[in-house]
Amino acid sequence: MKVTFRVPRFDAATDFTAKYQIYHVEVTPYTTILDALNIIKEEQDSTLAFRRGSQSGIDGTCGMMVNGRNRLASTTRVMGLNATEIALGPLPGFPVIRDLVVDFDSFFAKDAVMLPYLVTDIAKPEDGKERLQSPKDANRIALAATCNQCGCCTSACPVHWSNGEYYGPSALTRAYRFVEDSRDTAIKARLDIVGSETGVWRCHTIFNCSECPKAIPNGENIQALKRKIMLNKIGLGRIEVKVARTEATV
Amino acid sequence: MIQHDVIVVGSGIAGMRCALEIKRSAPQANVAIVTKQYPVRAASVVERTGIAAALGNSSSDSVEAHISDTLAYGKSNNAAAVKALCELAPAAVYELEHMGLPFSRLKSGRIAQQPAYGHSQPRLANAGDQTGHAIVTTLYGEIVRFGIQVYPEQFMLGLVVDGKNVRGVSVLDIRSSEINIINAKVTVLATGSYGQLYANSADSYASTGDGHAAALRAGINLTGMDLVTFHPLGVANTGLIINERVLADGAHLLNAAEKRFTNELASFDVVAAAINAEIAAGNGVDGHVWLDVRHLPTSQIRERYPHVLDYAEDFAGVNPKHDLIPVKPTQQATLGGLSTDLNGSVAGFEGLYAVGACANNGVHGEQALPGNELAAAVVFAKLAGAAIVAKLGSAVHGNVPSYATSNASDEVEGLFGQKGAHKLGLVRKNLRHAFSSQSTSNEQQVGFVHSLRDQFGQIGLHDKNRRFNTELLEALELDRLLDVADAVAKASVAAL
Repeated sequence: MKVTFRVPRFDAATDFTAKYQIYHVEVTPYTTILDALNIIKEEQDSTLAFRRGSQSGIDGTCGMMVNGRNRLASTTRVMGLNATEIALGPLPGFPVIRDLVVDFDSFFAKDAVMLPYLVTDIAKPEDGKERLQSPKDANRIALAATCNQCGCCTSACPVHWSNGEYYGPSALTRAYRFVEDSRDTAIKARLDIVGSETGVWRCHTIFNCSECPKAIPNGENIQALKRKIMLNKIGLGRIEVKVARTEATV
Repeated sequence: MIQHDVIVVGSGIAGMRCALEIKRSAPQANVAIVTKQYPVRAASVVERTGIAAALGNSSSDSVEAHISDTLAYGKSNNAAAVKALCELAPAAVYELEHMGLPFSRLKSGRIAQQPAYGHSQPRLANAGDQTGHAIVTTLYGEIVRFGIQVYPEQFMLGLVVDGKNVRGVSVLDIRSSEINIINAKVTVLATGSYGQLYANSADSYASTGDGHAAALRAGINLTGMDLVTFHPLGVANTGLIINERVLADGAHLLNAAEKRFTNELASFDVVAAAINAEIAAGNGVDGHVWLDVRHLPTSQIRERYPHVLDYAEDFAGVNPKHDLIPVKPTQQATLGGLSTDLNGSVAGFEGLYAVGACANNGVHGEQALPGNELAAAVVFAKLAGAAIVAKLGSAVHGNVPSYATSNASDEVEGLFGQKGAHKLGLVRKNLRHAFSSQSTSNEQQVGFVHSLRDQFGQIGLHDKNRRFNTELLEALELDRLLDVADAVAKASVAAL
């Protein structure tokens, strides 16, 4: 089947607006968007710029807009879109470097603000072995921990479009993953960060971010963080509850 | 010119673990990571199944059993390396847990241990079926915690060598095409595999053997380059691997007539060979066979290998409950690399270390036992980090020869000036198909690589833009892949 791709060409150094280019590609039922881009680059136009990574969507390199939705090019089959014309675009809301390539520097800087590592007062077991965690507690963070930081969620968030300082759903899901981790005890510090001026309260529950390639409910995670902040503000002591639970498991 | 005490090239599991070890035990050390991607996008994420360590959480496993399984599977392993790996793997896994890695758990709260092919005991510690990704993300968190500097999207052009001393690396800033020298007392190559040499590969697009080629160009010999292993269950058209555990759980392989044609429980190489033979005999479907998991409970698939559902949907557009999944053998691991001792030190060169998939200390023998690659990446990177710290006191930055910059810029400007008729993409495609094809002999490969090398000299580089020039990047990668291809083909001929 022949499919038409409409791809913006843009160089931030020289262009004010993008020019659109049309490519025609013969696809099979197995051809992904990334395969099609590779075919374009190999056979038609080697100057088209896009990133590619693991080809399995586990690394988040190839996020882009496909027919109006943010998706991973490597895990989106062309025929699965039921369209013969496909419009591609760079992830919106990020500075475009060139064509489909955007700048992730500020995105990763926000991730770093979230203290994306375990902070805990719980001592390591004396035998040097693992801290214990129940399967239930492990499952609480398992899905959020699969986030590949592709940026599809943050890029889809209208609040992020208008306020570049907003941490955005990806960074907030990262915070959620540690707040929910039974081994982590820096909940107060974490809630202070996500509850700050550029944090969860900027979220207007639009839920575009829950259309995640890894099926992570980012929007729901943000609301869960809001609830935790409020419960702690009115002294329902979730922090204490959590420490007690952890000690009980150990 | 930028200066660091230690520069680590590559932001995968081995590179980050090594940098972390240096920073943790020598906080004053100025260590940085340079990578052609962003760290969380590193190729290590493709390792899904688990990390092998005899924790004994699910059975009375022992280090001795892990050693004997590894030796039996790899056949020609370096016994000292295997001993170090198996003895240190449990502590390495606990350490990852202490860093917060989200391991899957047993009811007891201990780290779960999955059974795997070649292991006499359930031994793979896993984070769902995204273990490599979990390790990468966890280590990246530590990189942030310790404030280790990372230079993303910088392509290593080559090692800076002065006689037998390695002084750092030359890099190309992908965003600007500018060339920089990073001068370091110690240089660590952690550049991963050369899986992109194969058309059907489970590896990332980034796995182009950059470190291997840099070593060859600096006059460093590579060993074991012919040791490339294939997995029978690559999803056709992508090369991504379906966990072989489905076969142990009763999944079937079917030919075009939807009949079983082999014993699915035989060893990897036997099953892969049987699939290739079936396809060659004309009993395949469009160059693949079928994997049948329709009779396995969906709940079991979801629990043990959920990627089967994703892959079937994402890459074949089928529902494994009702449909067959197209599979064919795919390149899984490349074991060749720079010869190192157990500390990652490269003999004959001062100030050079190699860790991870670009290093070869013989631990895997002829094939890597499942889960041992991840274990080796963390265990030996940590040993290398400790050895580097011990050396740093006496190490010096040394002189950077002026030809380091000119060589790098000659290469890049040379490519920008190329106006030949051959297409870069086509040369790359032909190379990868030659190495995946069953019908190309090793001798033919040697000749073929030479003709492709000639063609590469006559490609045209159409993209003259200096900003994020991915055609330039591909050309640089292909140039290196051709060097690696030559080494692989020659090693394969010599091994016959």
